Order: sequence, then structure tokens, then C-alpha cells
Amino acid sequence: MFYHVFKYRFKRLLREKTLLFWALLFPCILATLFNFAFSNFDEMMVFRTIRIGIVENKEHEIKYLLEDLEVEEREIFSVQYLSEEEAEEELLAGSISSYLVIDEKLKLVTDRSGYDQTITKHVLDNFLQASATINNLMQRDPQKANEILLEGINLDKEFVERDLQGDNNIMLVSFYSLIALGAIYGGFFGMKTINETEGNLSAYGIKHVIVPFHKIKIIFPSITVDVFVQSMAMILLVSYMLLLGIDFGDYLFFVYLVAVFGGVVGIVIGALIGLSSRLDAVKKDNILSAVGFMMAFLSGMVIVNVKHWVQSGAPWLAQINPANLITDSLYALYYYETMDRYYYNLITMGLITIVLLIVISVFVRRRQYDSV
Amino acid sequence: MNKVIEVENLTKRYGNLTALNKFSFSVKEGEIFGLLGPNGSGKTTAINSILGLLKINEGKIQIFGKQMQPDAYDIKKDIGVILQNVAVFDSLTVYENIDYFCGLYVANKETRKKLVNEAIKVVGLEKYKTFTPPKLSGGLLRRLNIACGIAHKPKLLFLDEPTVAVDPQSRNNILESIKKLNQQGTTIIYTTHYMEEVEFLCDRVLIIDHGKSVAEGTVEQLKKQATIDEKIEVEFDEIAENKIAKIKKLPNVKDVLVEPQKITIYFAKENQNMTKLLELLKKEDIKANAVNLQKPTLNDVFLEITGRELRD
Ligand SMILES: Nc1ncnc2c1ncn2[C@@H]1O[C@H](COP(=O)(O)OP(=O)(O)OP(=O)(O)O)[C@@H](O)[C@H]1O
Ligand SMILES: [Mg+2]
Repeated sequence: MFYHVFKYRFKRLLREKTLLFWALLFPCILATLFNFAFSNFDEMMVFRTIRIGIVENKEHEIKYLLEDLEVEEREIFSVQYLSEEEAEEELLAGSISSYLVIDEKLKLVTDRSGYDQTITKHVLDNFLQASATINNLMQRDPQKANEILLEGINLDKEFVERDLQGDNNIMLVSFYSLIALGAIYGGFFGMKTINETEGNLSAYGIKHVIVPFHKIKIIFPSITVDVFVQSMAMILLVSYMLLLGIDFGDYLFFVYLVAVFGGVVGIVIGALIGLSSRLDAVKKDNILSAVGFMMAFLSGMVIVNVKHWVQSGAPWLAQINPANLITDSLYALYYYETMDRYYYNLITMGLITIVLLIVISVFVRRRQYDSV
Repeated sequence: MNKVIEVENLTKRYGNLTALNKFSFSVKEGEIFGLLGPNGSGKTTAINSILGLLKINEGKIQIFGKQMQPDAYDIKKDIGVILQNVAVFDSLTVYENIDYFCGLYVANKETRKKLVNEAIKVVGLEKYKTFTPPKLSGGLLRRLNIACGIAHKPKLLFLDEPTVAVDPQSRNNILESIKKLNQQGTTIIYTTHYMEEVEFLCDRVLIIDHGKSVAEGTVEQLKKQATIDEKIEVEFDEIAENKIAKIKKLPNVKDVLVEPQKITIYFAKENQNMTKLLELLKKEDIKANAVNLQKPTLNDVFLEITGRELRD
């Protein structure tokens, strides 16, 4: 039975053009449009001065870099030298967006994520990368390294400046939340499965309820197909973005993982919307489109700062918005050294999924209806 | 004969609306049982209740002598249902659709292949095996819908208005297929509001109105319930008033409907009504253009019982 239902359901999905369009093509098309729009966007970007603190426990050349860094003759950072306690206070008061502790190692401390923090982190990463390259060169080819250093001590600075100028990393959040949108749109599959298996939702539903076994034996293979096709769609979307040159950082496996898992969450959300009312299928499709878009919007798809506003203004909303959890996972993967935040998001998504599944199972267990 | 279905005092309410009101009937093995009733009389509700799909407010439903329940899978495996609304998948071909639904009952692939092809033959879709539903006409689509419900050879088959909006050719095909299935031993419940279909198909008929059974029996028995026996229509170019009065005075005349150039005479059950009428026409020198005799239809029965026409 599993194979029989699986086979036909799979065949049907592959032949349903509208569904495939929304699930597979639509996010890719949006990604293309975003990419096109943002490639012209950099030039319009105006950097404002970012206020940061430095806690200097040890001499380090990075402070000159941070002080001198300019883009189009404007300083990027305004630096204050502070003790660790002072820095903490200033950060809490919001007069600096983050502070750098210089010890044996460099440590960037901040209490929220946002535009300023993103840039600061990015600059640091690039600096470290550039100096690592030079150190490497020193060891292998000291002469060449010396030549480079003699040519301009400002190599690090230039490197970072160039990078910032041509940078569209700020826009990464948009692409990340586009992945979230694609994930939520997996709901179209889940909704279809529910519509076809609930007796009070369609004539297909009636046919699937009068069979000589519990309808769960139809739902289960159908959802399996949904997960399979949606996972393919998510892998395709991420791969396509990589082709477009979107930077996901170094942990590609985890990028794919959260995309695929997000797709599963999307399917579950779609199933729940499908069960929530007896509106006709087209109306419910529209509801899912709107819900998915809203979730992605709140996670920064259209205006990146919306994500940060939600995070500071209504943290609980950011915490339960699956699209934001997906976006944030990708964001954390790219910007943070540790995986903590990534895992935290993934676990939250898992919990949300379990809660939704429990609600769904209450409905799906029904075999008799008040009206059909 | 065994009773395949037994329904007792079935009551089903949708909110305040009572769709079925202490509805009782039974179906015997091997018969074609007709549920005849106007729109909204409760036919579909009755079927869905019997199938265990609806929560009912009251009543007892037995199929094959066993209590019908949502998890009575040993009953369900022998049931086929053709719903009022067509439910086939647009992206699957005719063959695949039938194979899919048949596969929910029959696991063996070889057996299924045979069954699917048989079903295709029964409804006459041999030429359309590889067509998808959007490419089929309304009538062919209905035939596919039927094939999907009969391929697994159910012992008991429900057909809910399978000929609505169907061209005459497909209608004939459908009615013939149903007869064929019945001859092969399938017990059939057939709902419709077309009395011609009932007269053609059904061994027994139940007339349902407002969720209540108003009459039950064979087509002949029901017609005998009608107090009128014959309707005779006479067409003229013109006729004088006094001559109509003479016709009205004929024995057994219950009623006369006068229209321009036509009168319809309703006779009570008696022999020789026609002969007496013709004699009168001759004697009075009434020039009739046509004289038609009609036996009462189920519609007349329905009209007498409920005071309304079967079809709006
Ligand atoms: N889901 C529902 N909710 C509320 N009322 C309903 C529902 N389904 C049917 N009804 C009402 O119950 C009554 C019986 O409807 P039902 O569909 O059983 O009639 P029917 O004889 O099958 O009619 P038709 O010939 O139009 O198919 C009607 O008055 C109808 O309006
Ligand atoms: Mg009906």
C-alpha cells in the first residue's frame, strides 16, 4: 500500500505544473531578481559611522585599521578606548553597538544583531583572513611577503575597504529569508495532502476515508513524497543561489540541513492551514501564499532591517516565526564563530514542528464528520 | 433473500436542519435499489451516513448483517462508491486513475491489471486509456469516475446521481453498465431524480422527500398507489364548451384539464376508458387530431403524495 500510494502521488506531483512552479521555480526566480537588484544596490549604499569600543589589554595593529578605515572618504568606525566595565555599560546604554576585546585573541562582544554589528564582524573577519594570508606567506616565502609589506603597510586596510565597498553581504539576509520563503511554500504540498485525505474537504477525501484501512496509510506515504520533493526543491534553491554567487560561508552542509529541515516545517504549516477550515483549496492556497510571504517579510526578506526591528521590538515573534528561525540559522552560520545560535534555532524549529504535529494528529485521527 | 443493507430510524441533522428524519429502509442482495427524490431531499446524506462518513444523531445501520462503523474494514472492502462529485486526478491518465483507486483495495499487480482492463471495458473507455481527465468530455469523465469505483468488484455499489449533466450516449452506456454489473451479482443503490432511469433500472424504489421515506415498492406497486390509472390527451382544432361537459360526464373521469386545442382527461382505474371515450368522440362528431394514452409515471405518484413535481 505504501509503495502504491507513494508511486502515484509522486507521479502526480511531478506532473502538476502550477504546484511545481510555486515550490521550485518561484523562489529561484525571486533569487534571480534579488541578485539583479542588489548588484546595483551597493553603489547606493551610504555607510554611516559605526560607534564601537576597544578594550585594549594588549597592543594590536587592528586598532589602526579600525580607526583609519574609510569608504568614499568617510570614516566607518568611531572608536572609543574603554575598560571592560565601561564598555559593558556603554553597550547596555546603546551608545556603542559592540566592543572589541584585544587579548591573546580578538573577541567581539555585542548583545544584539544588526546592521552595525554585521559590518563590524565582517571587517574583523576579513582582517583576520588577510593577516593569516600574510603570515602564511611569511613562513613559506619571507622575501615575497616583505615585498608586499614594503609596497604598502596598508594592505589589510585596502583589502577590507575594497571588500566593504563591493560588499553585498548586508543583503545576505534577504537571500536567507528567501530560502525561508521557499521552505514555507513547501506548505503547498502538505496542504494538498490534507485536502485529498480529509473527508470533509474534498471528494478525493471521501474516497480516501471509505477505503478498508485507516486513512493514515494514505497520508503517511503522501507526506513522504511531499518531504522528498520539497527537499529536492530546497537543495535546488540553495545550489542555485550558490551559482548566483551568494555567500553562505564555509559550512555548506549545515546550510543545506537547515534549508531541508525548514522545508519540512513548511509542509507541516501547510497541513495545518489545510485542516484549519473548510474554505476551498484555491482560497487556502492564497492564505498560505500570504502567510509565507508575511513570515519571510518579518525575517527581513524585503527590508533587511525588519528582521532586526522584530528581534528587538518583539523578540517572541522572532522566536516563533519559522521563517525567521531559518533565516537566523543561516545568518548565525555565516556571522558567528560558534554553532550555538544555529543549533538553538534548529531545536526551536523542532519544537514548533512537534507542537504542530500534535495538533494535526488530533484532526487527522477523525474518521467521521459532522458534515461533508 | 439476504438483506445487504438495513437502515433503521436514521436521523441526521446539520445544525438546525434535519436532513434525515427517522429514515428506514432495507436493500436485498442482488437488487438494484433506487433512491428517488428531488434536490435536497437527503439522498446524498443518506449514502454518506450509511458509509460511516457522517456522525449520525440517531439510528442503526447494518451492512452485510454487521454493524457499520468507520473501522468496519471487512465491510468496507466489499463496497464501491461513485460519488455525486467526480473525483479523479487530472494529472493521471484514465488507466492510472482506475489503477490507483483499485489499488487501494487490491494489492496484487497482476490481478489488478485484469480488473482495471475489465472496468475500462465495462464503461467503454478502451480508446481513451492514455487520456487525462481534462481531455475527456463530461460524459466520458463520468464514465471514468464510475470505472474508478467498480474496478475492485465490490459486492455492494453506491451510485449517487451518476448521470447528471451527461450526453444521451454516455447515459445509455452508464445505465447499461449498471445493469451488467447487477447481472454479475452486484447489489446496487442508485440515487437519482430522473424517474425514467428508475423505471429502466430499479427492482425496488424508495421515494424520499424532506429526509423522509414517502413511498416504497416496485415501480409497478408504486404506480398502483396512484389513484389515477390513465391519462388521455385529445388534441383538436377547436371544441365547443358543451362537448367538453359531455366528456366530463363519462364514467370514471376524475378530472379534465382544458388547454387551448387540447384537453387531458384523468381516468380512475377501470377497463375500457379509451373505448368509451372514442365512442363519445364519434357520436358527438368531435374531430380529434390526435389521441394519446399515457400510463401514470412515478412523477404522478410523487405529485399525488407530496403535491409537488419531482423536478422543479
Ligand atoms: N454539509 C451540509 N451542511 C448543511 N446542510 C447540508 C449539508 N449537506 C447537505 N445539507 C442539506 O441537507 C439537505 C439534504 O441534502 P442532500 O445533499 O443529502 O440532498 P440530495 O437529495 O443529495 O440533493 P441533490 O439531488 O441536490 O444531490 C439539504 O437541505 C441540504 O441543503
Ligand atoms: Mg445529492
